[in-house]
Amino acid sequence: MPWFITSKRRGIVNARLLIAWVVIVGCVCEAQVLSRATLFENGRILTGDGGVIEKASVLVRDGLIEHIEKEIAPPFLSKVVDCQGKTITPGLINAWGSLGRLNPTVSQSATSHAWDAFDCYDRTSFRETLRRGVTTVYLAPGGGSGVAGTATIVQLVPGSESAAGHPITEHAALCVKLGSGDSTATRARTIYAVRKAFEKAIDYRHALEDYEEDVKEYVKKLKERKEKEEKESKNTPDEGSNEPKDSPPPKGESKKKSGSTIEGEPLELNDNRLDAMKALSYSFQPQRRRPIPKKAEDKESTETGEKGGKDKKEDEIKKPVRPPRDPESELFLLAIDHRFPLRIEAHRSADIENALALKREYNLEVIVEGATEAYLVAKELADENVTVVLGPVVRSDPASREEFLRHSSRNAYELTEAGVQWTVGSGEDGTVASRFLAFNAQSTQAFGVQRNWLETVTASAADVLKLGDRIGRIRAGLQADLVVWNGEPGAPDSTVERAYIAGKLVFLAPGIEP
Amino acid sequence: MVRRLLYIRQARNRLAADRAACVRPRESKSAIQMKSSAPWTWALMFAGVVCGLITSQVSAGEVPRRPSAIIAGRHVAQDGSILGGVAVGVNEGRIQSVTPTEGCPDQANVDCYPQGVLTPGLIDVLSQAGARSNLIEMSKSIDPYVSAISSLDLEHRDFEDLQEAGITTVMLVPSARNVVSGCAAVVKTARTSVCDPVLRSEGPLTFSVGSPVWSYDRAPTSRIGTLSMLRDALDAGSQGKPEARIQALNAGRLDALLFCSEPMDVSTALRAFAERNIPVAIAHTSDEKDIGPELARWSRAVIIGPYSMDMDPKTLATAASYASAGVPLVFAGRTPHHSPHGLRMTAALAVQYGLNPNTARNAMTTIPATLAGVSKRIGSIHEGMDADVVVFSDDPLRPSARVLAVYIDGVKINIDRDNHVNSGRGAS
Repeated sequence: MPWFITSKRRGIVNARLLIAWVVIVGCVCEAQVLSRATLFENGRILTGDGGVIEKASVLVRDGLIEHIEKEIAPPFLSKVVDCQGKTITPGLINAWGSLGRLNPTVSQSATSHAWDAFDCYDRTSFRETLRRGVTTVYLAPGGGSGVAGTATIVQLVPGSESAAGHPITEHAALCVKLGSGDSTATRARTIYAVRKAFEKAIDYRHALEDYEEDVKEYVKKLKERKEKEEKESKNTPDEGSNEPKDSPPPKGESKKKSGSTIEGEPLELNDNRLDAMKALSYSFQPQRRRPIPKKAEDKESTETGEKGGKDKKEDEIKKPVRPPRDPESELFLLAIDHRFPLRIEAHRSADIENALALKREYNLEVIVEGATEAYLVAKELADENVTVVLGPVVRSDPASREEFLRHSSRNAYELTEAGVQWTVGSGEDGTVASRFLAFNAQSTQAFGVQRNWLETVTASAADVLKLGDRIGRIRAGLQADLVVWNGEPGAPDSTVERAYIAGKLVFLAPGIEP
Repeated sequence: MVRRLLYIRQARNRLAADRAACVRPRESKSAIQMKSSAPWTWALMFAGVVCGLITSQVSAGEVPRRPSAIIAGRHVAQDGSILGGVAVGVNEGRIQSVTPTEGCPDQANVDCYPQGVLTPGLIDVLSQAGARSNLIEMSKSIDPYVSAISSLDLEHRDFEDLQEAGITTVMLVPSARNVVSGCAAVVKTARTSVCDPVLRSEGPLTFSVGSPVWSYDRAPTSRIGTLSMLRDALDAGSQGKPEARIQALNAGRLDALLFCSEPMDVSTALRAFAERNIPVAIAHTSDEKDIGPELARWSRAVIIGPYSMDMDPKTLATAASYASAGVPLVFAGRTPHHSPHGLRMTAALAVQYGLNPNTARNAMTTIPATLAGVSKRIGSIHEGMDADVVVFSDDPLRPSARVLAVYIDGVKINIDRDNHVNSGRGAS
């Protein structure tokens, strides 16, 4: 008889073993498929921080770069991409852009958020941008002069069927524009308004600190009173009871809620809305022309109440009132605490100096955007250790705007000579300029900069955005944001064949096999 | 000798005696001259020597360099492709020889750029660089007698910015605000002692149609009015009326350049020229619509640009579509209102959107020279041509390529200047 039908019991055991084996193998295969590795073979690798590996392979798994070796054996079920004759670089990072942004915010509030204006369905722009190798974009909130809002850093990952874009840092910076194109008076008002906002934030912090101290004091006093009452109640257990604290007030009496009275003091709204509503209801009780005749019992309780009220007045511990929440000031405090940098768009040298003064005054971490006339104050920028993000290196029509009249294509070179850390972005010119980030970066080399343009828009840009430990380089352990070029990046006839974000294919050029 | 010594001793004694007697001694003429000139003459002579030395040093620095040969590791050929090393012999401002070469010979007066790419000087065919006033007369819309050369200032600072960008020649065109704006002029961006910088004082006659021409205080005020005036202007020449330049245009002695910003005007305006057998080049920039077939049919060349990085992809792709339709392509920089570096940027952006790189290189050199009517002098590296060449550090279509050297009439132009801020007229 066949071995599997020797007995019923053995058959059941074998069936269970078979099922277990199938399940185990299936899980392993599923795991392999889900975390399927991708191997980029035999490509020329530019690591982004100046390193060049002429011929090597990159293994990517679970969205991270696992290995970079000369030869790597393809793992089980891995996808192999032949990069013979091609160049692999990190995904380019636009350190200052406006991609996919709908109408720029004009509310001039710190709570305006760039992500709220992001058009995740702007597929044309995304495709154009990915086609040029740009995988990460720092989105400025836009808008007019003053406090513009908070920026966000977006990776162009396809989301649902038609949407794309995923924020990797939702609040990347607090943005301020000093209005370099405005009149002198307007610019003076702008810097004054920014200073005022910082002062208001500091006052808000002090108010919160005072409130916390008051709360501690209040709790302490409550404890003391409770202990005192307990003592008294032990000594005189039959004495009249004081009204419990939370009993409703006697008729005809108004309960003095902190800050709310019939006499018309301004109503302070507490966090507890119910308390606020109660306070409102008491304060709006109709005033009677004739007092209601009180019954005897009411008279007694009123007298007791009056006495108790008087006693209460003397013993009453005023509950501290929390300052109303100020979300704007909270954001400014985050900038003061260096939780994120303050990005200041300033083009004129005078505005840049104002930005430096703000930095000194409030001990901020400042990044200057635009910085058209930075070369005029390069030494001051270097002394303050301020990072600069430049916009377009070659402006086609600099005379069109006043703040660009002293534009110099050698700005980056002068900053390099002075020792200022800088990078380039596409700037606020149009919402589609992100796709020319590589073009812009290459232009810096045409005007004296020795640093390779690729390093400017990968490793350097990642460091400026504080993402250097995550993206911007081809290194084991970092996120696999990779771009495969069919030639030397930046050559006139070189194009992007593939682009990956966290190991996921996000762009494939027409005619290329997936 | 002894007598002389005795004489001198006697003179001294007499002098001492006279001094003691407070009598001005009678001195010889030579002695007077020597005494009167002695202290400060020496100072003058010393100062003169010092000044001479300084001047000679300064003069040595200012003496323009005229190498006998320019050698580069690669060069741009006639068809726009980049080929190997070349040695260009220069004599009296002209190219004497062009020979393939490798490496740098050890010879004096030879400029060698082993990593450089030698290219003909770039040409901006829509420029107002060097103009000291507005290049437009607005009182009348048909004014063929205006000449752009009249407002040219060869010492204008604009030209320095153009030289830094590798632009060696510009076509100075009147503003496109009149139906007939006058004649353009073709000039080099540097005056050397070798050749006259003005290549052509009576360049193409410029015409314009479209909304920039309309005005409320004079005709034309509408599209149909503009086209009607254009036809009348062209017919004026053929009818023998004394419009000399229009007559020359009709007779084929002068060429035409048409500014047409709106696509709906292109076919009508070009047809007006074609019906009168007048060859015309068209400046039609930044359009999304593909009018390549019409341009190929009616126009001898199309001028586009400058491009910028915020333009729509469709607009940037029109250069490639025009080229594929067979229209000779010319890039414009519109200096100084736009950056001189915008000319190369335009070419590079067009290549990013499908234009052949060779065509793009020619669109900055050879084709504009043909359009400007000076192709026998500039635009390519050939024997007999003017030695107007530029050496780039890399392919000029690469944004990272920088200008290493500029030669005009074989004279090396100084492009290393301290002040790189734009001149305030838009150049950067």
